[in-house]
Amino acid sequence: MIAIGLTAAFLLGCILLLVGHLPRLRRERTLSVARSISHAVESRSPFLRGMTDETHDVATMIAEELRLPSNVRFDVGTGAYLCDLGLCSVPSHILSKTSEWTAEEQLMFDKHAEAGANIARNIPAISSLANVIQYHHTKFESEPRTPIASRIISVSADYVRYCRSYGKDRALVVIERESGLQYDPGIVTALKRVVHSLA
Amino acid sequence: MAARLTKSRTAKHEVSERTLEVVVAMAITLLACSGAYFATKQIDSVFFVLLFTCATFLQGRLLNRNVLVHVPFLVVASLTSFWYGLILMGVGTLLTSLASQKGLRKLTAVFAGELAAVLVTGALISRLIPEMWLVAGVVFVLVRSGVSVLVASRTGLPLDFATISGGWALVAGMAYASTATAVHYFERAEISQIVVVCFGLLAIAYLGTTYGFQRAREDFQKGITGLSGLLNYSHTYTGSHSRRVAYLARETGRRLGIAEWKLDQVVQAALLHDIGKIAVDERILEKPGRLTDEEFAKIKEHPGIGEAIVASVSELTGISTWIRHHHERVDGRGYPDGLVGKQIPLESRLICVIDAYDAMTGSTSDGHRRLYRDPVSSQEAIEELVRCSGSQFDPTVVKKFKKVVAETQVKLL
Repeated sequence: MIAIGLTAAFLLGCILLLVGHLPRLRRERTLSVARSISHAVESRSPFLRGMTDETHDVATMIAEELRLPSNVRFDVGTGAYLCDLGLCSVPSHILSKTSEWTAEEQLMFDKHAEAGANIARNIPAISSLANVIQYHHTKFESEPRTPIASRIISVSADYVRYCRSYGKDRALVVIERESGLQYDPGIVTALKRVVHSLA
Repeated sequence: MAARLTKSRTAKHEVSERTLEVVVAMAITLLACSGAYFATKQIDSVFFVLLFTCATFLQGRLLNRNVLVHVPFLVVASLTSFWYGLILMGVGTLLTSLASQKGLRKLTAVFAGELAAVLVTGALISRLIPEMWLVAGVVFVLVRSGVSVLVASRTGLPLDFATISGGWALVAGMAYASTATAVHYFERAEISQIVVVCFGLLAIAYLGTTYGFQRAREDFQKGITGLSGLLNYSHTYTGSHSRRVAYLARETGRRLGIAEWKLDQVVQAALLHDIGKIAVDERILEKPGRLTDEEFAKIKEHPGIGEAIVASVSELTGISTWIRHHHERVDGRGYPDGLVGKQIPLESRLICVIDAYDAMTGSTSDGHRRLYRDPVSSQEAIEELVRCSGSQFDPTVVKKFKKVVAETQVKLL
């Protein structure tokens, strides 16, 4: 009986270890696929190049700052890579345009979150992130119940973009002004803490 | 664009299928265990049946077979003794691995290694020093990896397959060795019994880990397919092109003597070979007439961009060079690097031939220029390949590819 008990214990231990190990392996794989997807999308326009890597870094730092559980942190990290997936259905000459967009082109661009979510739903490895992608440009004011990962990605993507056009200090001011309207105020505060801790 | 974004198979459907499978497996286990108890009135047989069910279930999942296949084995096992069960387990393993030709060599390699390890460790523990299970564990791992590597090298499997669950082998080794010690110490059991217990546990741990790795690999493959599908959304490019090229690449690669484990990578490269086109302006790719030099220069960039995209996944760095060179010609007039003959990786030469064939036969398959050219028959396409072999294509690849196409068509008829 003792032997049976011991073997059962080992069996249980092995299964537990297995169960603990596998999600990590799958997450790592998914993250690297997401990263290559982001690089593929970025290659469509010179303005996008290098953007998603920075967005990913900022978003993961915010998620850590907010002490979110590991599954949400994974959503944030992978979602930051994948959020602009839908841009692959926006013609690249529109993406690379230096002048202002026409209303029609703007409309095409605005659809990218929805389009990206639809693409993601068809890829089993990332289908769980479809919601995160869908809401990553949604206004906090109009839809405060979007996934927290989307709200974090929204703030960090815009912050990275503003940093490129206005510089770091000004970017933070612009983001703060929209706090509570476009962005979740809690996340804007976290972003400020992250930026200050880096400075 | 919206019409293309149709859902294929929803994730929800898959989940319910899996849940059903787990419920069925649990029901079978319960039935088998209670059957075993009532037939033999011994707790040992229940324990064994439990091991057996878990192992066969995991194995069924591993080889993508339905669990119901194992019901007959389980019924017999539950109604007979411990030893019959063991024999049946061997038979079950053999049958399920035979059912999937692919897995047979791998299963043989690993089971040979593990069986040898169990025998050596079991003998060591029971005959010499029962308390030194730590030493026995190390011996276990050494013997297991040694035999697995030996069998793997004999059967042409990659060596990393034998060590893929290296960390697990250590955990498992410790567990089995200490279990064997415990059994010996507390019950003064016979060595044969210790070996049986070890074997059952080993089978479970091995199948469990391999199953996990298999699942992770499948997920990864699906991700790659998804990545290759991105092109669909930006250009006139059909998903069936990637799938056809992938299928033909695997078959032709096998004929060319590319190792079985490497064929997965060849398929990934075939799926992703044109991913760089995502960066090329679709107005150039879909332009019906002749391209200007400037536009053609843009198109020539796509293998390099594809290489860069793929290289950002650490698991895919190996295939990125194949993607870079899939537009090279054996006479050196290709792009981007103008490599000659054997300087071009075999895999690139292979993808180049298949890409050209599919572009000729499948009108809309390739985004640029050929789009508006009428598709030709398979026969004519092959003739064209043969005509250009030696200049644009590698003659050996074309020869093997011809055979594959002939056979595929026979199969389709």
